[in-house]
Amino acid sequence: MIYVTVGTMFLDFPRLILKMDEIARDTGERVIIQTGLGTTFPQHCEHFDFKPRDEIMDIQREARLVVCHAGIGSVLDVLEVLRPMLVVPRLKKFNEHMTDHQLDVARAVEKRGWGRMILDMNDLPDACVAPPPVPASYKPAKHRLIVAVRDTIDRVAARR
Amino acid sequence: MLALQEAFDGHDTFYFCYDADTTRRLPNVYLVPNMARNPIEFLKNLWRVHRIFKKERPDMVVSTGAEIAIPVVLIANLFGIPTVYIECGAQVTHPSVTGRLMYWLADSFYVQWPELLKAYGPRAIFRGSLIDEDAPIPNDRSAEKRLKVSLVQPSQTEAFSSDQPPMGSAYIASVLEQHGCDVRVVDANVEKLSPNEVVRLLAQQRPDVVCFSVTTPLFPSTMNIARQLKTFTTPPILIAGGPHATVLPDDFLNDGLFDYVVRGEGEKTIGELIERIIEGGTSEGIQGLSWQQDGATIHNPDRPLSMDFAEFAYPDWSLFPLKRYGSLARRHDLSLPITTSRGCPFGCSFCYKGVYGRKLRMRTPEQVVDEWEFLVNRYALREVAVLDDVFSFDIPRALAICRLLIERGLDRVPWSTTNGIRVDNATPELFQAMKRAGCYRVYFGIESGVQGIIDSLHKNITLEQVRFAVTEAKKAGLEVGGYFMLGNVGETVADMDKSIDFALALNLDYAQFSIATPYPGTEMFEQISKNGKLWINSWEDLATYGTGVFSAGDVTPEVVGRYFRKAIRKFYFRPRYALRQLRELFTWTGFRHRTLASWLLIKLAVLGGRRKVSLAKPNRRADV
Repeated sequence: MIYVTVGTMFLDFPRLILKMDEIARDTGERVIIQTGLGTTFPQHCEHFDFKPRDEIMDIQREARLVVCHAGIGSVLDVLEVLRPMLVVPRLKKFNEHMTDHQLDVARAVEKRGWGRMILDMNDLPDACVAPPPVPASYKPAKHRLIVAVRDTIDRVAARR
Repeated sequence: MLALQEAFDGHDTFYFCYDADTTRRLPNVYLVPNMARNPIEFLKNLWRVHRIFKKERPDMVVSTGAEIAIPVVLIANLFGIPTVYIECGAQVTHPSVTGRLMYWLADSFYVQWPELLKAYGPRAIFRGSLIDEDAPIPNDRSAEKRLKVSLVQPSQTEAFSSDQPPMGSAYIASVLEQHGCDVRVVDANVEKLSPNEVVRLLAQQRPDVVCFSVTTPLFPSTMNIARQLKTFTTPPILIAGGPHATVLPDDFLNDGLFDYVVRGEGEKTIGELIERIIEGGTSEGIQGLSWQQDGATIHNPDRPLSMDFAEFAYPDWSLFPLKRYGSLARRHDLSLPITTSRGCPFGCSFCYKGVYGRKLRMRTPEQVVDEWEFLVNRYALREVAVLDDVFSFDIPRALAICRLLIERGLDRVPWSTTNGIRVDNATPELFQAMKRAGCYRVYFGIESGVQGIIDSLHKNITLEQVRFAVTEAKKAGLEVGGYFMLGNVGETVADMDKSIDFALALNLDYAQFSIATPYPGTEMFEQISKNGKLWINSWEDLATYGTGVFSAGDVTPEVVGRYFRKAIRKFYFRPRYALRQLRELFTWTGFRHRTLASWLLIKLAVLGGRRKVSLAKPNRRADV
């Protein structure tokens, strides 16, 4: 099963949804798409707009591959369950987002070996057949940031 | 923000955020409608924040964006409340509009991706992230086993304290992190904290272990802090390291104040010690460690110097208050140091070799330039300082470093050799290569204008070599600075005059005059102990700038102080020198540095940074 998510962005992402629909039609594989606030809907896939986070995580755990837009929240959710990930950045030129910052996120994801970036939709069918490897572990440096903030708080408290 | 909750433990918090399903569930929350770029809503929010702040009286503001941070941080600045801004994780390489503003408005500015550092600049810090991973920690451990370690750089109470990033501590900080410790750094010098303020800060940090890096003049203030720490209800384990601790470990351990002293090069010793502290067990067998057992002090055997730099992690500067470091002797406010080699095979009588030793250990050019590149990218550096004692001992290696710097495009970042290179390890070819690789200034340790004095210091250079090196460096287009010492053992007033004249005749761009100071563990200290008098009341007095600290002949400490001021006057207060500095005034940093430097020089030359030295009790080695 392939799970596809386009996040909570108010702009549509037909490029991804239609291509995944095509793949579902051609391969017959079960594809579930979260369509969010968009108005494009697939015909050969199961789809829903939103679901509670724990349900989403269950679906992702079951999926053999997650195809997601390059939103930081979506990427983190995939990393949490460590599934093969294809990231498709929403681009400004297709009116999928207001800026191209998702391109940077997608590049960072690829650079760190968390998943593969897909820019050209024609690459998507092959990428779905041979998904990228999953990182052995994922541990964000959250604790360090907490210590850093705590450090500043302590300095303020010591001055009082 | 909720992911950071742990950082606020034990403090009262309230939230100010946009109205949404998720935020409605927060406790103590002020909700406002999404303002986006609506100027009316922005003004309304300014007013709302103002009212809330008057009611809640917060001590600090933490924000993770987005534009809602702008009115909050503006009002916080108005109220004088410290602010922390953490850039949104969605910004990987391009700054956000809010971020650009916050970069200047917030007191601390964190980014969550290292790629973003360059886009902002040196005020931005990457220190952990909710998204990105860090380099793996070899000896990481679970939360309950993590030691909280505070690394303290005590301040000199009065003398001109250092504003340089403490290299040794930065290496130690990295080792502690590699062993899974939560490391905090307190640099009292640049944070301008008195010993009592350091204690108050440590009372908030509640560390399990406190490490001090102690040079001789810092000994009294170290002991002052340590004594107060031991009165805590759960006193931390105290560890001392650095030159003074290496020479006189008993002074730290004897009255039971310190638990451990790390002697010599500390990286491996402190690593092993931390493991023992966490896992339990005796301190036997940890080389280079002095410790206490049943009231007795035990000195484990010395640790041989580490021959391989690659086994040390890069110094972690993200833990240090980088904004506060600066040097008038550099072009840019922030320059971070790099060590390309440790140790020095020469035997200068004034130099302390107890920590890094006389065995020269050089990193390969690739290792050096790898760290150089990392430094420049990770800290958005505009300048690098090479901190070696003998950078160019192996000239082919120095040339290879220069070549690699150019190959990797690092020649665009200016650098200097701040600790000086030896005039006998220098060729015209080297200077030209350094210049091409981005070096803009070299310092030479010249010490004196009298050959006999240079010889007596075992410096092993000739005045002829000095002249040659200075001329060739200038020819290559480098600025040249010289280090001089006045008041050396056996030096007469005529000798000091000769040194000053020599500095003038060399046509140097900078000359740093200092007063010969015998630090414990040096040959000079032995000489004074045998054939002279040390005029100090406390170790702190060694850091004095305005007057000599010993007499070993006819010249008194006061006369040395007079010549020190005379040297500064004669070198810097020349019309020709002032004219040459004029062009520097056209950049803001240049202007600021020159103004500050002039003030410092006037202070030194006129007031001499004079410290009252009690002449009634010479040669007293006080403990505090």
